[in-house]
Amino acid sequence: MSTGHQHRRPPFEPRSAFSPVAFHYSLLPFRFTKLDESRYVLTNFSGDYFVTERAVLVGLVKKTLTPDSSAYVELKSRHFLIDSHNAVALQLLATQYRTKQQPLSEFTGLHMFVPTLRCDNSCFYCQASRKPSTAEGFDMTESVADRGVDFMFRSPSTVLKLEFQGGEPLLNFGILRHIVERTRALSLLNGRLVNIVICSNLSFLSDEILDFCENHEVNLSTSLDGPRKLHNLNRPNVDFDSYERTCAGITRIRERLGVQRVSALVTTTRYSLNQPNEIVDEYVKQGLVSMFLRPINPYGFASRVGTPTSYSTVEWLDFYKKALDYIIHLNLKGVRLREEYTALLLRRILTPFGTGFVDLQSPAGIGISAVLFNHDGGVYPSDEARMLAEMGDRRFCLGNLLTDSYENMMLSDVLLDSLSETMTETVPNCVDCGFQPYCGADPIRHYRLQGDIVGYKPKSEFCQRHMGLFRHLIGLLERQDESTEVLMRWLN
Amino acid sequence: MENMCRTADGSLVVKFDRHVYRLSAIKKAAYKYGGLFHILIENADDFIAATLKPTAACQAADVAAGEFCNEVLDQDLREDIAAETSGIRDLLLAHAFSKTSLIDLDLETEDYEPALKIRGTAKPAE
Repeated sequence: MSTGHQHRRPPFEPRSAFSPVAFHYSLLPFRFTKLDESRYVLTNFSGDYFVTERAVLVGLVKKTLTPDSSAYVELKSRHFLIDSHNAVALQLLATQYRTKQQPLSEFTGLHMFVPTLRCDNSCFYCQASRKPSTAEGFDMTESVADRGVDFMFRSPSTVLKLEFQGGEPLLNFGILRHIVERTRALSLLNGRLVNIVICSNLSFLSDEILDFCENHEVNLSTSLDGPRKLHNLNRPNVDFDSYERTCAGITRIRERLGVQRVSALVTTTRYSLNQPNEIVDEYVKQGLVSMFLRPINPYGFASRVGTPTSYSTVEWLDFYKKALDYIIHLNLKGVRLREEYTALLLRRILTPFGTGFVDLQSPAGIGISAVLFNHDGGVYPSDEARMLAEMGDRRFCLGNLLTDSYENMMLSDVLLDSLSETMTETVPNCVDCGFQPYCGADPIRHYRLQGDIVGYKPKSEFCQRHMGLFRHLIGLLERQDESTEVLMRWLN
Repeated sequence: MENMCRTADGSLVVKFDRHVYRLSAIKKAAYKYGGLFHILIENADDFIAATLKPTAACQAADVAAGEFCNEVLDQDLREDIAAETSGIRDLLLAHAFSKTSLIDLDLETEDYEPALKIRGTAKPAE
């Protein structure tokens, strides 16, 4: 029998019912990879890293870390976990991630022109499959050049970079001059900033060309493979004096335009592997303040059987580490010299800013970071795609400046299909890799070596090399000694 | 190791307790070790067996097989992380790209031509 005074349960539990009875935290997205025998490197959503033992990693995931432990505090401050006291982490992570992806909205910045495929050097590793300097039919015409410049100014990028590749671009200086003058005129008209670089062996550098570079703010980049004997062995010309010509050119640019206006890169051959210190010393001797250590790319003559180019990735990494150690040693003694690829990787590891380097983008940087105009008007989404075409495989050719429109080329299936398959956030192996935020996709290289643009990463030389580089650099940063200070200075 | 044995053709067979390990974690580890082993995965009632047949690239099969087992543990841990954070990851991505200008809203009309949709590209002069 009802009394009319039934006890009614309140609609909500009291606040105290929800108060935490035990400490709780939630994980934020992160990846991890083994750094060495005992340590792991963890990278969060925006690329911040944390190095720790496996026990801490397991403790983090299994929720056994206590809030008073130093690991907990570090992981919380670096946004690997979230608790009731740092809800703002989500906002920060989203902002950092957006900043890192910003280059995507800039679209194509780098535009490469090949004024000629002719060259006076006959490097056995020539990846561009150069033609002899007297050959005919390998020079860019004015009509192609004009359309190339117009194509470049269609890019939405606020800053453009115009780079001359070869062959030896100065062998067709007339068309190079025409392209630069047209570019400078259009950049004034459009209010666009254009940085211009000529990649040259400097054999044909003259006072006229130096005047031209000074007047039009053109920088120069060259190849210097090391001391005289090594350089001339790698890069012979008819008179066996390519070293003398290149060094003379570097000196003239330094004295006339300043040391910041010339840079150089080392192509590593088998002959280079046991000379890391001698190669570095040569750069110091020439007064250069930067160098770029690169392995041989598997294109053009470099892919011919029997050329002395082959070495393993492990051998190249060993060479790189020795050279880098020596460069750091010289820096500590007051010598100013920076290894540029190291500096680029450090920027990717330590800063929230994206880099436009074509090989380290996700999706791949082909087309959306760089475009190349070949001497015959062929348009390619990277220099390597052009190199592949010179070997007879035109799979990545986007079209021709003389016959195809900007829209048709930049929205072609050739480009868009490749891009959609190269997001490392979704590629097997890359998706779980602790170095994913720093790395990228190189579809042309994987296609060349494995016949597939995604590639099988456990057998990928690109993957092995970059894993080795990231492990080494993070290992150096973790030492937190004077060499770490040198690396940090290279960020500027 | 009781759960690891060698067959007559030199392959190593590793048994994983299915109550401890996820099949997906074993498959991911197998993908990663495909350069060192030809791998066959079999599903039994209580365990999952992975047969690892060394390739020519495999210098020390026993060591590599041990590392394969550790990789399965790591992959299992990654599955835990993914299960807990996939929702937050989607939220972060949505939030990050909600404030970009990757897509030009002026071109978001019903009759826009896809060929013109990339920011900054314009129709060439007639």
